[in-house]
Amino acid sequence: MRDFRADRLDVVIDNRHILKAIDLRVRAGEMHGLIAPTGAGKSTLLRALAGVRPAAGHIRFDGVELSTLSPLERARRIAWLAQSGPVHWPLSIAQIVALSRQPWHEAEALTREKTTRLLDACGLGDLAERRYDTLSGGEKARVLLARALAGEPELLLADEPTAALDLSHQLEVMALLRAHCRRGNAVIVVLHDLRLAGHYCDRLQFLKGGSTLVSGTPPQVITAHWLETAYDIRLREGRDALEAFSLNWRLRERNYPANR
Amino acid sequence: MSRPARLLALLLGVLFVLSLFVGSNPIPVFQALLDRLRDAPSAIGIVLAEVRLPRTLIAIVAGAALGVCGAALQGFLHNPLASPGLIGTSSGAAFGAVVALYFGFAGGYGIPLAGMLGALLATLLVYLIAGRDTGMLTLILAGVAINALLTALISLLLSLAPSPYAVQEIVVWMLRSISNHGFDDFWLMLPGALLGGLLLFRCRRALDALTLGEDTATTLGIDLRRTRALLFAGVALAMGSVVSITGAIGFVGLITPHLLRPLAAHRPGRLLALSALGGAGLLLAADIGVRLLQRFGGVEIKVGIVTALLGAPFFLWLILHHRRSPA
Repeated sequence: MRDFRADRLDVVIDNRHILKAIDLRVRAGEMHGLIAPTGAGKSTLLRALAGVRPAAGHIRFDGVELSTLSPLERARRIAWLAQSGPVHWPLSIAQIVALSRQPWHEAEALTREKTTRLLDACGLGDLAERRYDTLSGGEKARVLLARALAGEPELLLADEPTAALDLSHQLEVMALLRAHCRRGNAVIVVLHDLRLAGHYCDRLQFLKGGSTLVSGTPPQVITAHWLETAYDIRLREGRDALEAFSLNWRLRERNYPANR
Repeated sequence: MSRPARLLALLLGVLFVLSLFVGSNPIPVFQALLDRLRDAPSAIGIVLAEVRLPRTLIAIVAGAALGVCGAALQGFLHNPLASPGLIGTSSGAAFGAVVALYFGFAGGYGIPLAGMLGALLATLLVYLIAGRDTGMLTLILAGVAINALLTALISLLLSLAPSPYAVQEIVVWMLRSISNHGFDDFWLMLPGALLGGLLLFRCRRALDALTLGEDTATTLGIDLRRTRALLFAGVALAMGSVVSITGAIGFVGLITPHLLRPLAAHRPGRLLALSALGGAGLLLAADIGVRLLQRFGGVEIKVGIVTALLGAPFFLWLILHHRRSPA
């Protein structure tokens, strides 16, 4: 993958304009954060990019219109991690993760091998044979992330992957996403935590009311002005926004590469 | 072939042989077989080849179709209570068949084709009413409503029948079961059941992916529209064919997937083949039970009564179980 871009995306649901002329661009190796108050259309944008929600405008993958790709080709290149995806039957963790290998039509032994390797890399190796319905909320969230990564997607669209997690697992998940980018892939991630967003993402895009407020590098975006415009919050006198939302800790035990 | 599938196939093989040996009257089966092979005309040869064998084969095909349709519907609707009997598919097929009898186009493939159309319409109707991701209860209630409507429409057609002969034809048809059929009925039933089953097997991967919900399945390359079309066509073909020959047989499509789900590691796609084998075995075993009852108890009951006697308590248990643990 070289780049993925969306031009003038519009989504209208029940006569309500949910997304208005959104532009977005992400290059190989980049992590692109979508930041917004609740209800600004982040999840809808991600669904539109994943092809789950129809949208007007253009979405291009390496210059090729996404709608011209076959469903299978699209599935091999783009993965979508829903905010709270259902798992309707009590499958084992290994089986759930293996579902993402389906589009590759490979031998079952190869799928098993890749699944095992991925689960180990995600720190979920011990849970491989556990049933999904017996996991804690945090474990479930990590399993679903592993599921999305299992297809080795060139572009991963992750909707609040850190929402249900404690502090150390939030860092672990962000490090996994970062590692995915380092392999030449791209990630578009919806985040609420500005510290994580500022620390891990290469570029951030603020949305408000379905439109892009500002897009740029974290120092360009995490400023007193844009925080006030987006969230109606005001920093205390004399405080710097980037400093206030900086991430000053890293995972000690695992020593994950924590910076960008 | 997985180990559970091999075991079920073996069990089905044993039941098949047993089924040839069990009838309302004892016959020397080996002698009958020899007579048939030598082309020697004998009554016992005819009983074996034209009574027991078609009955056995019809039970196998009908049971397999019920099992695979139940598994496919449960997987697709991710609802453990979905089955052809409960969501109106069987009633739709019965209604289609009665319409064919009423309007007098019941010859040849008339009844199976009308049954397929009825099954398709009823299933689609319930699906449209209940929606895709609604809870279990909505689907079951929609099924109850459609079942009631179709039963009423069948009664209405009976009341409005143009002649006593039509009434008689409809009533006789409604009393049918898997007994008293020859090979002609088996051949009428087989193509639709087979084709329907094949269409459902083509949904295997999609059913597995649908475990993660329709949206995620879409991002895994599943064409939902195609899957829906294949699934509804498959269920309609299979159930239309089966119900038009055997009448509605309840609960096989509900129980079979439940019993076998752990053996399929809960994977809806893998469950299809196991449910086909299991459904065939279950219905054949129930029919053998019916014949034993006839032979030793002197009572003749329909196999649907046996499956209902076993299935209804199971269904109640399922409802209570899911009420306690809605997950």
